[in-house]
Amino acid sequence: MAADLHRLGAAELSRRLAAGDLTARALAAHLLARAEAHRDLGAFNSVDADDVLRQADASDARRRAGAALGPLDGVPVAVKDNLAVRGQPLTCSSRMLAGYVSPYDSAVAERLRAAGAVLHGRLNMDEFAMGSSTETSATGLARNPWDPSRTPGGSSGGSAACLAAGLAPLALGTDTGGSIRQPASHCGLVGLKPTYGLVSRFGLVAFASSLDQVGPMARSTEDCRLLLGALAAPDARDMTCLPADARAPRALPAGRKPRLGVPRRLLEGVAPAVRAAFDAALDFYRADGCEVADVDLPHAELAVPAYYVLAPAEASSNLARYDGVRYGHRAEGAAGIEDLMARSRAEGFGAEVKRRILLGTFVLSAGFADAYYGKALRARALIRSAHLAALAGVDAIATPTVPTAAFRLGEKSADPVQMYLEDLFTIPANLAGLPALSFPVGTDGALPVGMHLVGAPLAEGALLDLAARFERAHDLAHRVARP
Amino acid sequence: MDRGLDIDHVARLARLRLTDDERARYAAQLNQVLGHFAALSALPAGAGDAAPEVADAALRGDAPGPTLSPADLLGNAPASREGQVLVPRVVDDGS
Repeated sequence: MAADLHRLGAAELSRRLAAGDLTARALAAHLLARAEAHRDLGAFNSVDADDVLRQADASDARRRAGAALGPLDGVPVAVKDNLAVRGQPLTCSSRMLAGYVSPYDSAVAERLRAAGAVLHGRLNMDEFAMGSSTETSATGLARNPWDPSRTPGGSSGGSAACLAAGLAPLALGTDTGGSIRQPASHCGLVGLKPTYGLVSRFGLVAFASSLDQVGPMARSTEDCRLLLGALAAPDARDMTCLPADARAPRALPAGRKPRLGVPRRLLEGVAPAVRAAFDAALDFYRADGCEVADVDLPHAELAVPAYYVLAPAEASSNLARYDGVRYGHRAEGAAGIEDLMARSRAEGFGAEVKRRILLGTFVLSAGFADAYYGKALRARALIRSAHLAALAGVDAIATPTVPTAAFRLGEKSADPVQMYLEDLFTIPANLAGLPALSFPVGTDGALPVGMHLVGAPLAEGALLDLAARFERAHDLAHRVARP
Repeated sequence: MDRGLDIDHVARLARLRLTDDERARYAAQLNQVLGHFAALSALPAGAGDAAPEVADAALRGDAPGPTLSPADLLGNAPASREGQVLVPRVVDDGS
C-alpha cells in the first residue's frame, strides 16, 4: 500500500491516519523519498527532512495520546517559498534572499501548525512571484510533470509540480494575477484564489499588496476545501483581513438552478483544444441542471494593462525594502550607502524583477502617475463594477483558466507581453478582489486544461460546489503524473 | 517610440545600477509594454471612480507587545557589530 500513498488525497490520508491504518511518519518518509527521486522537476527550493520527520513524529504522538488536532493532523502541506516558516529558508527564489532564514511564522504557517499539519518543503516559484512559468526563479526552473519540456505555470509553479507529481497532497500558493490558478490549470489541479481579505497575508513577502492572496492548491475539490478551511481566519496583523463578522459565506441559491455566465466576446483567442474542453464542460453543466447564459463584461480589455500598471507600481514600492542593509544580499566594496543600495539591488534581483521595478517606478513618477497609475485605478473600479453587475445575475463567470495549455520552457521568456497575456482570464478577479477557482475539465493531448470560475465575494464554497459537480462525473481528480 | 521614458532617471529613482546592455534592453522592453497601455489612455475622463485601494481597512490598537529579539533580527543582517546593523559610512566627516 505504501507504494500508492502519494496517489491519495488529503481527505483520504486523514481518514487513514484517524483509523490507525497509517502513521504520519510513514507518510512523511514516503513523500520525502519521492521528493528526492523527482528532483528533476525543480518543485522544491529546500526540504528539511529532519524537521518534516520531527513534525510527523509529534503528530503520531498526539494521536497516540488521543489528542489529535483535527483532520489535517499529520497531513503534509508544502509551502511556497514566499511564506515565512520559522527557522526555515525563505528565498522567494531570489538571489536577494539567499541564506535568509525566517525568524517567525506566517499566519498561514501558524494556522497549519495549530491544525497539526506537517509543514513540508519550500516550493519553487517565479522570483518574488513575478512570472507565469517559474522560469524567472533564480534557483532553477520547475518542470511540468505531465511533460517535462513544458512549464508547470507560475508563479506557484513549484506548488503545482509538487502536487501533480505526487510529492505532497496539499500545497500553498499565492496569487496576485493568476499565480495559483494558471499553474493549477497547467498541471490538472484545483487551485483557489480566495476573496481578498479571507486569508491573512501576515508573513507573506509582499508583491502587490492590493492584489496578493494566499490560497489552497490540491488534487481535488474536497482537499482544496479542507485546506481553505484551515487557512481562512481573521487576523489583526493583516489590516485587510476580514473581521469575524464579515465572513458569512455566500452559498449557491436554493430553489433555482445554478447559473453560469460566459463572456463569449473574450474567448476569441482561445486555442481550439482548450475551447473544445471548455465547451464540453459547459455542455455537462447544462445536462447537469445548470443554466448557462452569456454575460457581458465591459472594459475587459483594460484588465491586463491596468494590472501591469498597478502590480509593478506596488511592487516597486514593496521591493524598496531590499536595500542591502538590514537583510538580503549586500554588494561587496560599495563606495557609500547609495552605491551599496544600487549595487546590492542590481546584483540581487533578476531580470523580470528589475523590469517590473523599473516599470512600476516609471508609472508612479512625477509627470506620468496620472496618465498611468491614476487611469489604472479608474479602470480597476470599472472592472470591479462590471464583474459585480454580471454576478448579480449568475452564480459564477466561467472561462477557460488560460487561453492555451502549458507552453514549452523558453517559448515566451524573450517576450514579456506574450507572457503577460497568460493571465488574461485570471487577472480580473484580483483587480476586483473576487474569489476564483481553476479545476481540471479536460486535456489537450497529455496536457491538462482548466476551467475558471469567478464568484461574488465569499462565494468560495459555491465555486467548489460547482466544480465538484463536474469532478464527480469525470475522472480528472487525484491524477498523478509520475509513478 | 518615445513614451517619455528616461531609463537613467527611472533607474536612479529605483536605486538600480544598470549595465549599458540592460539600459538598452529595458528601455526597449518598457516602451513596448507601455505601448500596450494605450487602452488606458483612451479611458474617457470621469469614467470609473478611483476607488480607495483598501476599503474599510481596520487599524489595530497601537499597543505594546512582544517583538522579535535583537538576535533574531540581526541573524539575517549582512553585517552587524555590538547589536547594530553595520553599514558603510553614510556621513562624510571630512577627515
